[in-house]
Amino acid sequence: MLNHKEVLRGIYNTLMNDETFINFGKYKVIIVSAIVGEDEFNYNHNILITNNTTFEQYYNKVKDILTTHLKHGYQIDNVQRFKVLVWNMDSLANKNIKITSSTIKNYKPGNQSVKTQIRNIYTSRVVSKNNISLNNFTPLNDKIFTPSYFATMDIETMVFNGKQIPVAISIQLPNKDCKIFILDSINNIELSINKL
Amino acid sequence: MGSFEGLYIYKYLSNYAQPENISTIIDDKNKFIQISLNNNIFWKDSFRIFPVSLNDLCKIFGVDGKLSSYNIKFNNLNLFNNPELLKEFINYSIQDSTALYQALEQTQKIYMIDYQVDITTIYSTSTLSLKIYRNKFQEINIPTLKVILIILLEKDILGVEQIIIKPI
Repeated sequence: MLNHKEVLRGIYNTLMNDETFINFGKYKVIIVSAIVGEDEFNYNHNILITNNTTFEQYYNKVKDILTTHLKHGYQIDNVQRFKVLVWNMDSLANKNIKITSSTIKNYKPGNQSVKTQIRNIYTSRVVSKNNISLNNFTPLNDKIFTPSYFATMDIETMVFNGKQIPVAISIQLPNKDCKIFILDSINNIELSINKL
Repeated sequence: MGSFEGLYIYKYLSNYAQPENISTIIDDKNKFIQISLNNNIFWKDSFRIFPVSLNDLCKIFGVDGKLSSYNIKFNNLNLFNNPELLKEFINYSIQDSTALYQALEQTQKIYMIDYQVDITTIYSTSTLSLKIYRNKFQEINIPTLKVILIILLEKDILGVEQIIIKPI
């Protein structure tokens, strides 16, 4: 079992030091699969963890399933790859994901996880305000305001040597003023084009 | 603005300003969604917001459209040797910008009064729709679908090499 514990420690350390994993929600369910040749078998059942879960907490929840694998003849030395599936349990979309083991007491999926996420907004580095807006479409409360100014612009082009080149730019400004910038046709037209 | 005009604007802004002061948003087909200068002036494609012809847009919002249909002679440099045609071309070009402005001015009023959406803050028909929904109808947070990662780890697990981290 020492080998398995070391393997799990390697997986745990890799995940807990990876920013993508850390920032992928506060509550996460992971499943670890082992890949041997073209075969893939379950190595670590679905378990709920957070970024604060210690290695011992994690290991104690999965060590029994590893014993079962040994009995069925899977040797860790033969494993070439591990695949880790991670579900973000802060997301309501994942509220029905099965959790076989949990390293967290009193965890309730769905709305409860979202409430927890919001409650911790000012104290958690992982679940920041920015993350909430990135992970959710939030209602807006825009009220009557002064609209921004804008202008419109159009570019007219002509064919020159088989290529479209810009020859006129017209701009309509908010003050009703309109400007047009046009290719200088008084001087040599080809010289003007070369200066474009 | 998506392709040729955006490229033209981007090219000349790049010559005019420091590269770090110019930024773009580009879609998966390499078409420009937005070009910005100094995070202060923004170019956006009106067609991405209202995907209809200028004339149709003007009809919808009850403003004057193009002066005339496009004259094929507008596509030839000989136009600069023909003062009358050049004058027609200039008027045609100006009216394109004016007509678009007037149509957008009407849309700005409608969307501001009815939906509290400033059309200068959106990028496309879909972002306009989403903003209207978020402003007027949405009551609770809607989670996005960034919910699963797949991570592959190499065999040498003690000094593990991470191969793929792929959000789905």
